[in-house]
Amino acid sequence: MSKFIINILFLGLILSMQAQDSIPAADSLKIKQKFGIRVGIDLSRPIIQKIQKEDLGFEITADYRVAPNWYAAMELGYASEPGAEDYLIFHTKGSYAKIGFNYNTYENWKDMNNEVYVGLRYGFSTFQQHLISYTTPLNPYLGDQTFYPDQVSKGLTGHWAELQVGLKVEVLNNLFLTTGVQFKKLISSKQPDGFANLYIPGFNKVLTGNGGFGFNYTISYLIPFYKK
Amino acid sequence: MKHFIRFILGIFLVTLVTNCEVDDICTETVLTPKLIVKFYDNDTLTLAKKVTEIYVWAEGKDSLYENATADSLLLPLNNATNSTKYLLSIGNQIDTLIVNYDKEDIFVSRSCGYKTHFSLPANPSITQHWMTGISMIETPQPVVNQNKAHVKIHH
Repeated sequence: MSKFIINILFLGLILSMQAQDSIPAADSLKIKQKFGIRVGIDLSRPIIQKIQKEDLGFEITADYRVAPNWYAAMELGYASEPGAEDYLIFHTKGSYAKIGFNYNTYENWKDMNNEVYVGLRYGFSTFQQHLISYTTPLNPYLGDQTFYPDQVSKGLTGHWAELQVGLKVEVLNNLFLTTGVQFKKLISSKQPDGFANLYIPGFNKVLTGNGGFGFNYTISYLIPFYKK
Repeated sequence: MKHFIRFILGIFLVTLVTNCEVDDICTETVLTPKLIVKFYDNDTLTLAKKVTEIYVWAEGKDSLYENATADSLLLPLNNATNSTKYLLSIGNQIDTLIVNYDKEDIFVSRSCGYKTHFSLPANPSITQHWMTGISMIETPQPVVNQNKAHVKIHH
């Protein structure tokens, strides 16, 4: 019985191979796709920086097409972020790297190169937290007190996982505009003494439950290596 | 591949829900604890005894208690200094209570900032017009919550 099944499967395999051989005409119609490295820069930060007249950092991106729908991807950046809450004033500075992949779920027409992608990243940051001032609230009788510890905690680190979803559109030949959202989950972080990491470069605001959220607007250029 | 995308979208939704807990408004009602002073009898030291028609104020401030009847008082401590002075008056007799303490500021959260914990190394000092004695429940006396009395005053 098993021999019979194996024979049937084998026959099926041969037939399918023959079936592929029988349509060489379709193959020749296939549009050749460009493979190469794509480099870019985040657009939102320079614009916000111009408006707020403050150094907020930058991000550069790169991806490399390893298979028709798969891209190895990374982001490198630097952030200098002022933080002001009701009872806290602090400032975070540091650099970060994210590495992972994107998968394109969009089937293009003809020679179009647009993408609807989902991606995963591992993110890592080294940074410093400057606690400028804090207030101890809920003391209406004697008055809330504000303290100025001016305490800088260096050598802090953070690790996180990130899910990205977004769109890439080829607006000119080899020139892409990307917009996407990022959902992050902090895996671990080295906390400053007597304070907490409320912001991590690359991760952004650390929400309760160690969640995070981000946007990106990127312009990138594809340097094609070969076509296939 | 369909399964992979469904898996990714599943994670997406879970992350979305868990990320929606925003912590922007302080909802705590007690952060820096107040000193709880409880009144006891002068003769039977373990017998709680109320005070009546008491006026209480911190030096240089308005009244905290006015013509009050109370078995205990909640006194805020000044966390900018290591000592707070209160004046307690019954009838025309005024006693002073000087509390000395060590303090430590503790980070609470993004929205609430910091709170202060205190520790009293020795008995607060009092004058003895209507008060007769003072003692702490523990030595040193931590003031880290408002669950029970920290200091006993006899009268």
